[in-house]
Amino acid sequence: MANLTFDEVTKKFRDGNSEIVAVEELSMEINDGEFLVIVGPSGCGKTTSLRMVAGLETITEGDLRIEGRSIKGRSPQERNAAMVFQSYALYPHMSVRENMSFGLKQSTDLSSDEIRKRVDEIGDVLDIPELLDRKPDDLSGGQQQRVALGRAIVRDPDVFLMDEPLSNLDAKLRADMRTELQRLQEELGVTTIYVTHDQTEAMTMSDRIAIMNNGKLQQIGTPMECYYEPNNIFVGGFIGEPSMNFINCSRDAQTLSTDDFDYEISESTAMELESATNIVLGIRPEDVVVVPEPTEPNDIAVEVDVVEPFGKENNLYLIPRDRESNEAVIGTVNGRTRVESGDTVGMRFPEEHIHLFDGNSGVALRHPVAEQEELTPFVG
Amino acid sequence: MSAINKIKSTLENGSSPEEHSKEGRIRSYLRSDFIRSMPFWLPPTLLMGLFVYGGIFWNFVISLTDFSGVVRPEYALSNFDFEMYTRMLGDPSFHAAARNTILLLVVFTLLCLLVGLLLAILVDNLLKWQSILRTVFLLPFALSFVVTGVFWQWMYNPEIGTINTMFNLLGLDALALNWLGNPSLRLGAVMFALIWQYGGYAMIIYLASLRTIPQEHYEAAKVDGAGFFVTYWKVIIPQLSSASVSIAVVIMVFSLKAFAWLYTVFGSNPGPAADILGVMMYRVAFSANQWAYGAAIGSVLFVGTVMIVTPYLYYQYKRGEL
Repeated sequence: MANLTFDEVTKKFRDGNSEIVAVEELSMEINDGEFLVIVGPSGCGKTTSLRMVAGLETITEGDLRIEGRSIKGRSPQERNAAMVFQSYALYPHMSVRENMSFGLKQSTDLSSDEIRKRVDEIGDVLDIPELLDRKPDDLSGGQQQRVALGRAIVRDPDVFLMDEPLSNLDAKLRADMRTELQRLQEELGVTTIYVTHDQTEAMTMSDRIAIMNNGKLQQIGTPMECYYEPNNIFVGGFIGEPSMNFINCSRDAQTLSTDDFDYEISESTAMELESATNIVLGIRPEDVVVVPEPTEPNDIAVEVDVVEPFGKENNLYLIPRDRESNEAVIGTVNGRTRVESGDTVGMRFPEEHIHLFDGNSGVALRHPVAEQEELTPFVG
Repeated sequence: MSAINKIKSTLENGSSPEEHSKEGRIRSYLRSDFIRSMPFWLPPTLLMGLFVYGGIFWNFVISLTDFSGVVRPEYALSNFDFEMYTRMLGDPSFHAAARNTILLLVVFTLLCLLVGLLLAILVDNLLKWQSILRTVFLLPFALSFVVTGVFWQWMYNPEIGTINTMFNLLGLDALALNWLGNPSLRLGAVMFALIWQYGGYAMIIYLASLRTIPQEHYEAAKVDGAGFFVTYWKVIIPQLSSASVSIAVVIMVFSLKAFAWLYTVFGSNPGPAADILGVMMYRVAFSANQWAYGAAIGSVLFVGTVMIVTPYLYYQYKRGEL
């Protein structure tokens, strides 16, 4: 158990004569017992960051500290970190018990009796005592996943490192394992870094999310913060499914204009934008209000292009009428709402729900204001 | 006549149902895959049967006679006995050849596996020159025994050979020995040359096998705290067992066929220090005209080969790879 500090960590790879920066000046603090999920698209540097903690990649610049003690240049066994690999990386010639004992044998002085006892304990925790004498090839994907977890847990490490551990499971099992992993992590209280490209995993499992893109940290915060107060366009678009709608606008005082419509904002909102004129308006699909026909000044007449029914809700692809381009705004309505493609409806962006970003830098200028107030306490 | 017409005519002729079904059976038999595929598998089967398995059988029959090349062997049951086999038991030159054959089988194979494995790990860990070194080490395998035999004769030449010249240059005159002339060094020198030729083969198979082990296994072992040697010893090498078995079988079969190399270097009589059953069989049969005895040695060699190959085939069969 330990806290972990990334201090301006940079990783560069050589590719022939050119240099590729995989991670750029990454600074963040992971608290003792925290479940941090690093999320981002492929090649964003999330796995490289994890591998630097494991000791599988060297650190080009900056420092990594566990409990204030630098681990830069130290061998993996000195770091006391255990890793779960995407492919599980179970040793096929060893039984499950041998797989789980291997790390203990290599990095501790425990006697074989103690090792046996510990493996049995963890086998019980993970509910796999009957698998201990089998070979990995005889196990199902889900069972292999548990063994891979067990191999990490049995080491009683300071830090758990997980590299997309659920991506090889089918959807149903993945959802189950998500819950179980969360429960386990809470029980064990081990600081965990979990890398994934799946924003659902990031949202549901983490204490905090770190979102990376192009080797740079975009935002680190609780799932709620990242969802409701994204730092920039990238975070806004990456977190949330279906993703946030973005509309490019030019601003003149209190008017945001696009090719298709004008949108008036209040004076207080306009104040927050300061002098920015190139604005991106962001709104989440569930915040788009669909009305039978435009009635208010900011309402926009749209045509329903496609209806995606999900049962409890429908995603509507809305295209402003009389328009050439096909760029649709996605709006989510209740699943029982009767809408068909080709219908003409009104689309409304309630001002309290809109995000406004600087069109040049992508930085958020204004977050929605309503959410905090709307949160109703669950327990009276 | 089409099948329908045939049936019609049979019905019209009022033949009994028994005859009808008999004809139908023959017809369906003629149409079966077994018969229809015959033109494809029968000729090679017959050729193989006659010239390979027939040859083996004939060889065995000859080994039961006293045939020594002067008069034709008498193929009569009353004439058959196991005299040639009992003769082996008391023949010191057979003992020497059998001992060398087994030494070659075991020691040469193990050394080849070891050298191949070390080379494979070395090449696998190199960042540059991989493909060049692969070719360099594999090249001797592509040469025929006759070529490498002549080549090593020169290498081992006590006066002008490369090896002794090198030792002399390094001031290690004591090591400049008569490698092929000295009976106590001869088998070792033969094995060294054969390892030079077959180590590359073992390396290539090991290398291919190493490539199938995911990088994550090395990394998992590293995170588990294992160093370079422990990682290879405990995690990687055990995963090469199936490659080791196939390499061992091939090398063992080749070591039984080392005849060509030895014959090139020593002629038909390498002396008891380096004699093997293959060379002895040739010498006894073709130089000494003791055909029956030669055939008996051949039969023993054949049984030896079968004993090596059968467990391998069974192993492959059990793994479902056959």
